[in-house]
Amino acid sequence: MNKSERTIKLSNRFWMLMLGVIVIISAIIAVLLWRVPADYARIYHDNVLVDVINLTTVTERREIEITRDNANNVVVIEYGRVRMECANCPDGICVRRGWVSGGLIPIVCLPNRVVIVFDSSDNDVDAVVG
Amino acid sequence: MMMRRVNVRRLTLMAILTAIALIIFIIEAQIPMPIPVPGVKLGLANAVTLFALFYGAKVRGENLHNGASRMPRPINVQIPYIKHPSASSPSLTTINVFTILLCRILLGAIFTGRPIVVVYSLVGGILGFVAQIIMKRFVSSKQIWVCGAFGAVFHNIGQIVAAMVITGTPAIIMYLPILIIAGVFTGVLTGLIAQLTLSRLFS
Repeated sequence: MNKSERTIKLSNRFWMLMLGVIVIISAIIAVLLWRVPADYARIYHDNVLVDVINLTTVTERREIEITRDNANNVVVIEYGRVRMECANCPDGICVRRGWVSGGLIPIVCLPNRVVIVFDSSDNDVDAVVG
Repeated sequence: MMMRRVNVRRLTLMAILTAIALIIFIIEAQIPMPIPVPGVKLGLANAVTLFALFYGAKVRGENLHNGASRMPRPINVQIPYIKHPSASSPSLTTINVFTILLCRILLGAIFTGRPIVVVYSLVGGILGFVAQIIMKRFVSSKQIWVCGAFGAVFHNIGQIVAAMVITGTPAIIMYLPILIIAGVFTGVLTGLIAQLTLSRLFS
């Protein structure tokens, strides 16, 4: 008995359809996440809450520096938007993300473990701060 | 204690595949990705893992008669013992391939990254490997791209779970849809690389 006879083989069309459906569903979810308004930004470093900002009440440009351990990140906040201005991580992905003004997709600097999380309400913020 | 006989040909093949994967991994780490999403990369080194997984099956004679290739006949590669697989050709077991993967991840981390990178690579690599072993049962040797796609998707899922645990931020899961899309495309690419390489070696 050949081993290959015991395995189930499915057609190329089946796999293309399956991967296509996976991609389309993921794309729809990504777009939905992108469109959620984000009014609050919470900055974490090493799982510790550094700052909570209500982006709708920011009037002037503000810089928040995170310097601890090996991390050296500068977060800039303006009215309604946030960006990672510079970071000493090797890949610089967080900096290249640029300004973020909405959506629930966080800004992540994995090497330095700095994360900026967005939220449309402050319910969770109260839970963390209070 | 009995001395275990070492198959030198197999050992050599594993060493060569590890070296190839490591070189691809190191070169790829130097290329910045156009999309600023953490964890997105081509994952070309996985082509070696896929190659090794299906190479063993090819040598053992599985999946060899799975439909005619629609591509033009490939150029004849003059590697005698690979072109005519026989009992003396080294076959690779799943454990062998897993060893290649582990060596590549650990050595790759030493050569390229910070120690924390090992955790992401290990979790992603092992989950992707398991997904590929399972998928291997459902695909023919002309469908390695499917195996690659699922491997890459689960690699990315593993990485995201590792990132959630390490940073303690569940919100990182918001990246999952983007990483799944990226995984499907990069996985199909690396799978096709492995598939075309194998089909040329065993033409």
